[in-house]
Amino acid sequence: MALNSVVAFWRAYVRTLREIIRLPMTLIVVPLVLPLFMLIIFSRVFERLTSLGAFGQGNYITYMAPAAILMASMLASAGAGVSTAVDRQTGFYDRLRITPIGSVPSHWGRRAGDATRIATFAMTLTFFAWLNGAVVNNWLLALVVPALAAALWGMAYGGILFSVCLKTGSAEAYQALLPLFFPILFMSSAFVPAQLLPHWLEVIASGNPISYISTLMRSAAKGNIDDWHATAISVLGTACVFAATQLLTYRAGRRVANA
Amino acid sequence: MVVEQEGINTQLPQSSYAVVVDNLSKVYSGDVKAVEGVSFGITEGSIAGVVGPNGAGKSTVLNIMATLLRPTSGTVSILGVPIHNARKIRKMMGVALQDVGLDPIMTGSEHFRMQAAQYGLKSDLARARELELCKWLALEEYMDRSAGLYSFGTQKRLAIALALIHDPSIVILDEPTSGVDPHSRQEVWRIIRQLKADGKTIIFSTHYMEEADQLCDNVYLITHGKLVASGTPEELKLAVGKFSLRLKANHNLDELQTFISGGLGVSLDEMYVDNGTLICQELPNGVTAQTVFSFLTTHDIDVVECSLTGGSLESFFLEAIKGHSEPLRQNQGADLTRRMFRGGGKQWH
Repeated sequence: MALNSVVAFWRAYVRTLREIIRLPMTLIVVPLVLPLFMLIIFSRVFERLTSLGAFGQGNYITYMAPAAILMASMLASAGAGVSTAVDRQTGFYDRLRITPIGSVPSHWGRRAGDATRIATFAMTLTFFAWLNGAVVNNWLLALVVPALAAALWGMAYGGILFSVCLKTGSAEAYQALLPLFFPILFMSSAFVPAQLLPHWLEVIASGNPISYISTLMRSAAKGNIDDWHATAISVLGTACVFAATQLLTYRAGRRVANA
Repeated sequence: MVVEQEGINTQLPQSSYAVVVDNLSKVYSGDVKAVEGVSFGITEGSIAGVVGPNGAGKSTVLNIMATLLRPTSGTVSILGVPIHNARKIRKMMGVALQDVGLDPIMTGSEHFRMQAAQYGLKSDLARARELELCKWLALEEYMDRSAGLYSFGTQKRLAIALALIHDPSIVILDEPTSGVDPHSRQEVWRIIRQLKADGKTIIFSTHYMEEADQLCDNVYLITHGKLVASGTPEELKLAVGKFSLRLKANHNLDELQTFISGGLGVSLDEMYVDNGTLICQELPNGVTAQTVFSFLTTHDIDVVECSLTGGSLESFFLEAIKGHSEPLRQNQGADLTRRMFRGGGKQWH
């Protein structure tokens, strides 16, 4: 049964990747437009911010590239939830539920598909940031660490959207939750160092995993992951969010199963 | 053990049934009673039709059988396995739900591969089943096209094919012909008949009484969540009482009326002669067309024609649901069933 579940997971994963290729406008272009816009325009508009100090070495685009990557991560992380809601509406989800393997391998296949898409976005945005003047000292770390961190964060954060879409079977539910990424992203040190934020915001940012994940990504671009504090909190923060959203997903799944 | 509903036995031991539904009830949130105290048994290798008006509870019953919904109370067992053992049930059951449940951007072949993976079929077996089912259900030319481009009839056929990928013993089809054109409907009928010929037990719901009449060995009428009548299509048609016995004989038909009335107790008010045919509008309990024929032939009357006409499953259906515009009281369903099955040869549930 375990092997059969792995095969079913793989089929769902391949299905998700196929959807990305067949619906490029919805699944590639739309989640990338805003982060790319930010990367290109924001970095120019706010480039003089670095003169305030506290930004460390490098230009503003080097500093804010992780913010664009994390924005793409959060925008793209809704894919699995929306697709599952659509599956519930079309009856495809029920078709999976009445098979011996059930729908759980499909959940993971879809979320793994989202993670793959997010990792690709992260690498694409890193490359665009470099084209726009971001400093990259170690390409291997600059590509792999943000891709991994963004993918894992996307899976963790995406669990909120996934659980709501699974529970309600409504793709529109995701639209209500979409703006959630704004406070999470902007109430962090992803755009501006914490020292430059108002005190109340600095307090919030210091407890926001996004602050630490973006620090980790910047370290990777510099080729030197020596901020173990940021690394540890990034991993721990992502794990905590993942556990919480997984609990929501589990409860949503139980609710659907116990209908 | 026998299957019982309101004290009436089917006379068959439970082991003869592929599906046993016992006192099944389902209450949705908001205290909406979808199904209430439904009991019946479906014999192995037969075609069972679940009929009823919209919102009667047909799909709820089928979805519980398919392990998609949990009953509030009561039990269902499939080939002796209770439905709470869902994984085992799902292996022996193929289900095509009311919604076709297809991904519009996946091709037919991709649907087959995914469905096969969900049943743990090895790839070579899955491929062989796919080819076999595509040939049988005339789907070969569609396999490389996105399902969203199929006609609705073709989508329904694909949904049935997917339900059969693991060669199940029991097949549940929820409104397999609703919304399809007459040609596709005929195709689905052909498939259902062939499934029966292959020894499978088929349970399907429908709004089309003609379909139930043509295909079903037994029909189960559900309205307002209760089973109000069941039997073979012939029994149900006879039970509605709106048939006529048409009789042609080489004899004076006026004399024949008196003779039949005296011998079999048929009311003279129920008989008349029309264009050389004696028509009996209603027969008393226990009197069938066969009884009349035997009675006449044993009295050396040369009977040219003796047939029942006019009764239809649709008229039965309309009659049956007429008294149920309001939710049923306890036992009302059984009362109606008793009232309808006045004649002989009935099967109680």
